[in-house]
Amino acid sequence: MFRVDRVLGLIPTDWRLELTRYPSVRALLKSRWMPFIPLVFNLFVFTIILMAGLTGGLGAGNYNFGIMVVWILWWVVLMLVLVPLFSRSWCTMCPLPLVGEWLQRLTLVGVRHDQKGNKFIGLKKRWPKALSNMWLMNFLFLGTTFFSAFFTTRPVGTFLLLGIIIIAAIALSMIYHKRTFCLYVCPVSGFQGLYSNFAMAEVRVKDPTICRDHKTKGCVVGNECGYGCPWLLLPYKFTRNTYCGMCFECFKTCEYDNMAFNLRPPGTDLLVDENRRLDEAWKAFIMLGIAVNFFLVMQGPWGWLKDWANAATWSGWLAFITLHSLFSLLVIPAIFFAFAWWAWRAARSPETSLKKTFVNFSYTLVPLGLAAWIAFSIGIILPNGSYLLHILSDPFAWGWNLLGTAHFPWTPVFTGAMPWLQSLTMVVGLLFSLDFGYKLARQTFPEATAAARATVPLAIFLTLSTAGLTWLYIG
Amino acid sequence: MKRKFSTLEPFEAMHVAIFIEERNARIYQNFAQMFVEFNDAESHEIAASFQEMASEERNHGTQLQELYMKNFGNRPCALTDTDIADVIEVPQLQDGEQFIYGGSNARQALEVALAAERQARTYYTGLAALTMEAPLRGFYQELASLERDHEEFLERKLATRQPRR
Repeated sequence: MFRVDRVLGLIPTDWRLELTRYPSVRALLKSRWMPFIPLVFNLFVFTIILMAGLTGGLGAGNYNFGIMVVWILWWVVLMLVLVPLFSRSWCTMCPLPLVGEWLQRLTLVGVRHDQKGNKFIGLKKRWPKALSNMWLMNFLFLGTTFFSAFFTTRPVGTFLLLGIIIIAAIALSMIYHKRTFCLYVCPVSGFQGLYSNFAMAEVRVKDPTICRDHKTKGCVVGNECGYGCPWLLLPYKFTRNTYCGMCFECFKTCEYDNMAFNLRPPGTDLLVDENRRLDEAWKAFIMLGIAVNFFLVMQGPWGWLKDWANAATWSGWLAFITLHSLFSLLVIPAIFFAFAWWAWRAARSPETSLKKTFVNFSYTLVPLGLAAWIAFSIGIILPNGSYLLHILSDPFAWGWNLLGTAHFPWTPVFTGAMPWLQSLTMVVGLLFSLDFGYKLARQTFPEATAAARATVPLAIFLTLSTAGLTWLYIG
Repeated sequence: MKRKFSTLEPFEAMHVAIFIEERNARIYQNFAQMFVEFNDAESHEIAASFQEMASEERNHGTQLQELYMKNFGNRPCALTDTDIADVIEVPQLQDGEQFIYGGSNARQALEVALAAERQARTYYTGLAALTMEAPLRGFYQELASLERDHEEFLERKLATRQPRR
């Protein structure tokens, strides 16, 4: 299993299947109608979500289109399918920053370009350097979870959350350049970026030597065929999925058709030894903490905890957000730090710093955290998925029956298999975490024996965490 | 089939060197374009540094053209930088996520240029050391000397700026 050049000892880490070698796939990604058409479709769906959120008011969430589509369907599809398989493919079709981007470009589909480059309106400022990282997104995402009980049960809560995000995206697009909102502010963007390092798809350059010799770099500055990377990447050089929004503009601007959309083994970006950072490490801790707390609040047996999260009393709600924040921001990192310190001591490798060990090892929480969220999502969709049939037929609760399923009763499905599926998911997550843990140890410590010694404490942490989460889900 | 720089005749090598300078001028121009898109003072300062480098490279190209005329007159040559297999003096922004972290500054722009000039000087010096034929060796030494001038120009500019934190 523990081979540095193979994922789980099976698939070579450099294995790739280029989907864009098929002319139809390449033509699709080069077309300016992609991603315009999925974006417009999602804009239509989100318009209904917003209307349903507004008309649903403070009514029950389980029969509201907005609540069910966003927090059941979208969240589950995002965690079960989109992120693990297709990276930031949600960003490809996310309608939230759409209006802002259209305003920047003053065009829906085409490209406004002249001799000076792509044309945009707005102030085109650069985002402050101090905030050019994931910290703000970490705190914003954690902040939104303080109101999770409100957003996920009150239609107007979902309306307000999405409305605020859309307005913020439009306002920032007029002040800052390109996709600044998506890069540094969007609460959903950060964890997608981090977990996309585990994804089985990527956009990458085919032949770097072509890019090296190419002088005009349309993928960065744009040309008449497309916009320079809206996500501020250098498409000819980037090596991880974290910040690639999969907008496919680089396919349109590349004069040599040198961009590829590849399938690959899961997790290979976790091995990219560049730009590993504390803000990303904390994103992993926060996501793990939120997974635990969400489970306890939403699927756990403690009514008093639900009351706290529901803000039945101010003191209860303040206790909830305090404990929730402390657990995600301090307790999990502190426990992880203790194990990282143990690993660092065990390695006896003075040339490697404790900080480097801590940061590098934190990326093992990507497969583990993603598995925790997949298991959590299984616990949402199987018992509650049948509500979707109702709300698709009657999205505004106006007594419609568009699909003839408006009166379909609540029917949990395969709930008997749920503990098995969740356990299996956690075990698979653990296997990947252990595998990448050893690979990361080999990168962190020059000697193989030191890496092996350091892997032991890390493996203990990962195994205990998996056991704890599994016990939580099925216990 | 691309050729190795070391296999070129002197007039071919000089012709290619002219194109390398012109290529780099375009690359620096392109870097400037990347930064000028942002509407803030620091980005414009970085863009200006790259514009200056582009202008420097054009000057080098002109100097080499004069040398070519002096040595080889109007002798025709079709070889350009794209016909050469070696990587000589290609300025590169190395980090694909460079713009994400907002870490670029004017000093880094100069460092990118300095790395390219150093690489070119090392390359030409190495070629000179390996070349037995006196006129060709002299020519390589001249190219290395030109690159050394560029290096000093950049080092002087870097010395006026605060080191990166």
